[in-house]
Amino acid sequence: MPTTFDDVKEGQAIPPFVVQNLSRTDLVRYAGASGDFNPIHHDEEFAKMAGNPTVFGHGMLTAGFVGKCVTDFVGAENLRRYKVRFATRVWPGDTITCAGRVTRKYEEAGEKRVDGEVVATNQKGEVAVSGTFSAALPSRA
Amino acid sequence: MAEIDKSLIGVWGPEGTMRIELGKIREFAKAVKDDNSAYRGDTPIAPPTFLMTIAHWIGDLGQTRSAVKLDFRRLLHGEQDFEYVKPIRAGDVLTFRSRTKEVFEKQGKRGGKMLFIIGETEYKNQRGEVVAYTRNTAIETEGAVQG
Repeated sequence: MPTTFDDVKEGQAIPPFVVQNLSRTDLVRYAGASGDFNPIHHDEEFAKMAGNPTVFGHGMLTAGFVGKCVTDFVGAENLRRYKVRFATRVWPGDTITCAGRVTRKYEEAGEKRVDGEVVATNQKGEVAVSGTFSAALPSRA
Repeated sequence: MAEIDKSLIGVWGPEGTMRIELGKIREFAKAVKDDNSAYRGDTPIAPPTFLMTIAHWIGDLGQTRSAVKLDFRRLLHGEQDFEYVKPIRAGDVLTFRSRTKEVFEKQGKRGGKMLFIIGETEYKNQRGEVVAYTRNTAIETEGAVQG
């Protein structure tokens, strides 16, 4: 169940979401689901010709993993804003850890809201995606 | 660097429409490994980054008139911003339109100019209500893209 405004605290950690051993099939599945068929994400020869060791993940795939981490915490209907910035790329075999924390609790537009920051890191601790979110949370029943 | 047509900055392109399909929501949720029950059932809500599935159709359906002629070999996706105004659910029919919102130049850290292009898309549902905005920041570098 998503958290409530009454229960959430500034600085509170959001439960992490971990994707282990990202596969080429994961990249192909996201290409099909999203419609992003840039061959650099599925065509090994194309990726190598462009100077890469192999294919790499769509930035928005990692942003999708982070989005799950956020909406599991705030509830899918409660999200108001989600913004991501892309840093290092993710590669097949990587383990991606999505995590975050609540940075602010406030009221706006008649809603009880929280802001937070999120980040996806690889197994070396390098940031792949960083982001922020805002959500309107329900009161405790 | 890119050719910029300043007369097109801020001007909305033609509208396109897209039905939000149940199967597409499930397929997308599975692709981002999201097993949240909100994306199952008969009228699931769209996952947070689901509008990307429309973004890749905008060129075909909306015939966006970009203010910038982009060099895709030198292009990076820098940022992506989603603003959710109302829930988007399976069965909704969205009408969308896009524009180049802003174009500006910055000096890159490793030398060379970087051109920032901010594109915006507005989405309305079948009741004419604005449901979301997406904004993407594309960065065109002077040299080849480095990882």
